[in-house]
Amino acid sequence: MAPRPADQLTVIIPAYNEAASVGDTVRSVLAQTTAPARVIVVDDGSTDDTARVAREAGAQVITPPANTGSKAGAQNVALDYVETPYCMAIDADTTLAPDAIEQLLGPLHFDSGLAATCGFVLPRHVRSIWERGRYVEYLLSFTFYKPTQDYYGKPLIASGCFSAYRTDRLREAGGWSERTRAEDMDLTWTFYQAGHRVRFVPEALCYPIEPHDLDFMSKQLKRWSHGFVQNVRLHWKGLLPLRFLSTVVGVAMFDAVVASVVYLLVLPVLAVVLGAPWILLAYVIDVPAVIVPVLVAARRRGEVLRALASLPSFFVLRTVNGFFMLEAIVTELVLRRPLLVYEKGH
Amino acid sequence: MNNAGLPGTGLGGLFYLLLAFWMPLAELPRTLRGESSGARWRRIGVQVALASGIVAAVSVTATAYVVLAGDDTGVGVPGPTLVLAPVAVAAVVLSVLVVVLRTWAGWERRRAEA
Repeated sequence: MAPRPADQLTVIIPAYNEAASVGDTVRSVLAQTTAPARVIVVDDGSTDDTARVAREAGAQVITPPANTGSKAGAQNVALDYVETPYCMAIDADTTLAPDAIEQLLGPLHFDSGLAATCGFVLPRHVRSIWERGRYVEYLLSFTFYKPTQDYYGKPLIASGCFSAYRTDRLREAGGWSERTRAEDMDLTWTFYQAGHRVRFVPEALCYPIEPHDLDFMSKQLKRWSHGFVQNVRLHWKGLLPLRFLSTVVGVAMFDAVVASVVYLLVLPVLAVVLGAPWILLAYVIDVPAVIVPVLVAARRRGEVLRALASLPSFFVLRTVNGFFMLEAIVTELVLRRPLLVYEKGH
Repeated sequence: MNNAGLPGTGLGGLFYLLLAFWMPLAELPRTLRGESSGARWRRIGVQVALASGIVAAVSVTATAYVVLAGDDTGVGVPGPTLVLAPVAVAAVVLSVLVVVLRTWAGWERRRAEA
């Protein structure tokens, strides 16, 4: 019998103090319709029981001599141990749908031009305002934006929480770089500049634990915002010849800057100066546009009521997003003080 | 709206709407060359349907606002103008942005070749 793609797959799970979640992650990987050949958990200097929990769940545990300081660092430690043609990175707080690996590996196995594939991400818990905001954000993004990007051959990012790679392409790219705080975006754009392709596979579902409070959300948004700005700065000239990607990135960057200024400064100032509180309705002016793809995605999952109840949280999260984007632009581009510390925020 | 983690004003959303509506036109040459498939056209159909749904929802909301507000929009401009002006501004800004980006790319390419 011919070997299945998963027989040629190593799953890498970087973990730092993830005792509460890593067991579920490992078990969901091993319970796949096509289980991988090897599951490596990198216990990156945890002070809790991460290593023991991971080992008991069935993973091989690697412990670097000292904390590597970033997710990318931990993943690179494991990359040295990979002997299979494919490898996969999964966050230690992420579980997978039972056929996720099978779905994600299929295109990678049959299309040799692909360097990576990435899946559909949905929060595992949808309870707090932040998780609800993220839930709507993901439904919108993975239902409308990402498939559109994929049609034009350039998904903006192969999400770090769940992506599969050709090991040789990953090694050619130098592994996961630690030069930005968004190593997944850095790697995706590096692949494109090397002439490789990446595909979005919407049938491959994963469920990360998203930040449940403002403290964790702030850490994540800070990392994402700085990571995006750092990657634009690092890759911009290399992206310019890539017509679709550079246009998407340019529009996203411009829109993010304008949106941040409008939400945080223009709207509140106009409302006060003109004495016209109705101006604040502009915060939610695009409800009709957002609601269509979100409800279509939610209906497919039988979660229409959950999506409707979560919709207001999306607008709160977007405004908070604006603050961190503005902070990242000022800090990274104006003050030239790059964010160097990788702070975990789930 | 924009990608996850990136705030947006609607400019990015407008860009993606245009990209979705462009898909069938982009697929035609591929189909004529025999490089397309039913699966690709189904994907395109879904994206175009989503984009049409978004346009319909926004149009219905804007029309309802214009009808309900009548002549009194509260800011001294007629309802249709109040609704269409932001769309027109977004379209112009987006067009300028795309032209600037492509010009920049062309300039960089010529500089690299020189």
